[in-house]
Amino acid sequence: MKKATSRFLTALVYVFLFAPIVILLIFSFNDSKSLSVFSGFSFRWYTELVKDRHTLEAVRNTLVLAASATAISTVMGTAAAWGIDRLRSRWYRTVVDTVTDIPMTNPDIITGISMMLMFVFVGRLFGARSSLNFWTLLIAHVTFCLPYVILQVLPKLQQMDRALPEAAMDLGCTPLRAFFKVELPEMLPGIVTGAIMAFTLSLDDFVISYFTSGTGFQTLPIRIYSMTKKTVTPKMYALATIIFFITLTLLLISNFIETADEENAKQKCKKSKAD
Amino acid sequence: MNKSAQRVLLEALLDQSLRGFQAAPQRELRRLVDLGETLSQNPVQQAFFDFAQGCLRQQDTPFFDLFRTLTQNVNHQAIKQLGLNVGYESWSRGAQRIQAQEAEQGHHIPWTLVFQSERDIPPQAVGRLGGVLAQGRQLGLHTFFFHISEGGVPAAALLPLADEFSDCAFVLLFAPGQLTPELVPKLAARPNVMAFASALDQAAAARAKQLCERRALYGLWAPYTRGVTAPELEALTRLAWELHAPMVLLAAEGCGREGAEQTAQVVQQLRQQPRQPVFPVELGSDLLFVDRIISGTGQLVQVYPSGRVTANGQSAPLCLDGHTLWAVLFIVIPMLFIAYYAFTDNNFNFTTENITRFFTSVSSLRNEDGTVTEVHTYLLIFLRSLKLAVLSTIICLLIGYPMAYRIAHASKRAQKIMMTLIMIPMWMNFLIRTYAWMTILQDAGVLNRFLSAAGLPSIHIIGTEGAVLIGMVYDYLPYMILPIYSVMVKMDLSLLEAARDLGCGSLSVLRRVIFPLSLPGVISGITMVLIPSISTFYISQKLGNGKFFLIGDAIEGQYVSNNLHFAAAMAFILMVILLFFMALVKYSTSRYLYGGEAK
Repeated sequence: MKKATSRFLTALVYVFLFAPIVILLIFSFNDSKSLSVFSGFSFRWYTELVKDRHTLEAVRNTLVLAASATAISTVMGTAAAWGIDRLRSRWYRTVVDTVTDIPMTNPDIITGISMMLMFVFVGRLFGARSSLNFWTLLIAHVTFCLPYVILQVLPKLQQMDRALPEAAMDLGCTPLRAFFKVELPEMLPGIVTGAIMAFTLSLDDFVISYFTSGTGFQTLPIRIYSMTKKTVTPKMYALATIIFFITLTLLLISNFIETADEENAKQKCKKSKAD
Repeated sequence: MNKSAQRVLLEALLDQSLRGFQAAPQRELRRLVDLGETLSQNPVQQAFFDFAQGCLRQQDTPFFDLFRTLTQNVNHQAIKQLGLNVGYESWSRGAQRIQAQEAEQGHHIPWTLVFQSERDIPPQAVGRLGGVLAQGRQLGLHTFFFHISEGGVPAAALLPLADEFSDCAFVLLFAPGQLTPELVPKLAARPNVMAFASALDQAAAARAKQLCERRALYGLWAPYTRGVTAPELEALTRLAWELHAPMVLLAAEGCGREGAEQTAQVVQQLRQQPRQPVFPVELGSDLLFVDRIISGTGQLVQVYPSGRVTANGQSAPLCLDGHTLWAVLFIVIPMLFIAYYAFTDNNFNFTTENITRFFTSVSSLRNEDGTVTEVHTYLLIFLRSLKLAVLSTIICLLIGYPMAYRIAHASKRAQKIMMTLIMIPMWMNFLIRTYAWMTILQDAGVLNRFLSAAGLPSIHIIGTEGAVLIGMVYDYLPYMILPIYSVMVKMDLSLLEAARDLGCGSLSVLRRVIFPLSLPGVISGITMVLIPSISTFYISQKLGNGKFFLIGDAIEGQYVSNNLHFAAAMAFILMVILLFFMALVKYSTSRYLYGGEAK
């Protein structure tokens, strides 16, 4: 009896979590404009979505931004993790850790406002009329993605046997070659999950983008925000459904990589035990 | 000298080995290194013996010859004393001391000091040396290098120090003409001193012969001003071999980084394939190599008699500096801009008006019965945000804690699926999620259609605080479940069993074992829910019909109306309060987790 109750309550939480998503999926295929009565199945809103030039442009912008932010933050984050791993000075490490944590613990609204203020101030110094554009948005996205990349890569480096790159160099590798041959493959799972995290975070971010983007460059979440200011057609639900499936795929991929990584580690462990 | 039992044991072992060398040098040396590797207790020793193993891997490596001539030509007391001072005092005990103090004090400690030569040193500099060495030894340094040149610290002044610091190794690099015949017997009498004659010295051969006759430990050294090539190095080692010197030391002098790196590489190559029974050393890179083994990063500290100290090591790698620069530019400086804008007016003159406006601004509120009350606009908004944020955090905790518990105690496969299901909604754009709730909760929305279909009365929920709470709980619930789950899944289940075995009831186990252990997860869950929910600005607009203005909405509103200074002031106040809150949480939990509570 007790067990059944607990099961029921757990199921209830999942219903709560998925109710809006399911409703959204269903009504994206609704034939009419209503968001509460399902009058028939159709792809009407999907075709309307494809015709919406502004939304498509926002999609393109978002992808360009997410891809650039991911590339930059992944490279920088990996390099930073590599550096942090080699850091011995404790106070410097504390400082780096604290500063890296700031974008993760600070509310988004404060991160967004703080950057916006700086960009506006610097822009005013140079006499620009509107200082918020693609580049400020990119800087903001790289900044909030960086800690997540570092947090994914750093554990991989810490798990790595420190003797490995040394051994490679003893065997005649140059430090650069040892990095690419030994350290990079060890870091790779962390880099990939870090990159995927950065990509999805950048794709999904609204609050920071809202403050740091100008009128010239609209991302999808900002477009959605302006769409929801007025009454909304199920067109937006169609869009959400598509985004949902894309992020779901990415999530499954990263999950898969993680599992494969774990399996790999397990097998390595078994092997070394067998030896 | 007070010797540790370990050192006495090692000395006896080494004595025995040195005697055995005469008969079977190869076997004896291999045995010694194997033994050393088995006995080594820390990575530093391990690295040293690994390195020695590597050198001896080839059957016919000239290094065997090296040790044979060494044991034949040199006073065993000197090998023992110098070897153990470097290998044991410096690289084992000293290294442990260095590591312990580095961990404690947080800054880098080099394993050795190189005393450079300098002309016209002040007379008191020589007197100060003893103090410097004593401080070094205090930190765990037991190896010291000295450049002896004209006008610098005289070798004669160092020898009493070598007697005083008998557990330290003294390596003296003599400039041409400095290694005089009178010094030879004095050097030979001190087993913890190794003299290096300069290859540029005309009298090097004669001095080497004298040192050899007295069975002293000595080597050959040469300064270089550009990269040393392989043939040059080989010529040097041949010269050393002719002089029966087992070691050649190269020291960069006014040579660029490139030259030093090239030389270090040539030295390493020759070490891997030695032609002569002579061990080549590039002073800078090899000292750094040892330092890196001990401390993780390398630092070469040079001391000048005048008191100048230089440290040209590789501290923080460059790539980190890139990240630090970025973080300072785009995280730290923007935060300072919040404070700057908060305390200035539109012309950037200092003012506290923005801050006082937050606390004193008053507006009138019309009550239902027609009366009007004066309220503090922004204080009211802030308190409302706080109330909703705290409520949603409590609700998230009440739902999330049992959920996390249930998931953590499911089978491994089920855990994975359940956690993925928790995370999927997180990846949905939160604007859309929130909007979907709006359509569900509307008066003519899905929920009410459901209720009426079931024959129940419809409810009005949109535009109430309840609706805002539902939105907040929905958006942030996963942030509560995730950290609690990750703590619970690592919990040692045998502790729960032990508590039950000791007579704890289920509730008691939960209260006394599970909850205290899961507290770190609960704390991070609370901060992860409270912080975004107190600063949110979309949920209240949509689900509260704009009736429940929150602090986030207020900031956004000021931003939209281009009132940046007041927006910054509110962000600043919010930031300060949150920082205070976080510090409070950290303080109280660290006390709860690590102190007191020992009933």
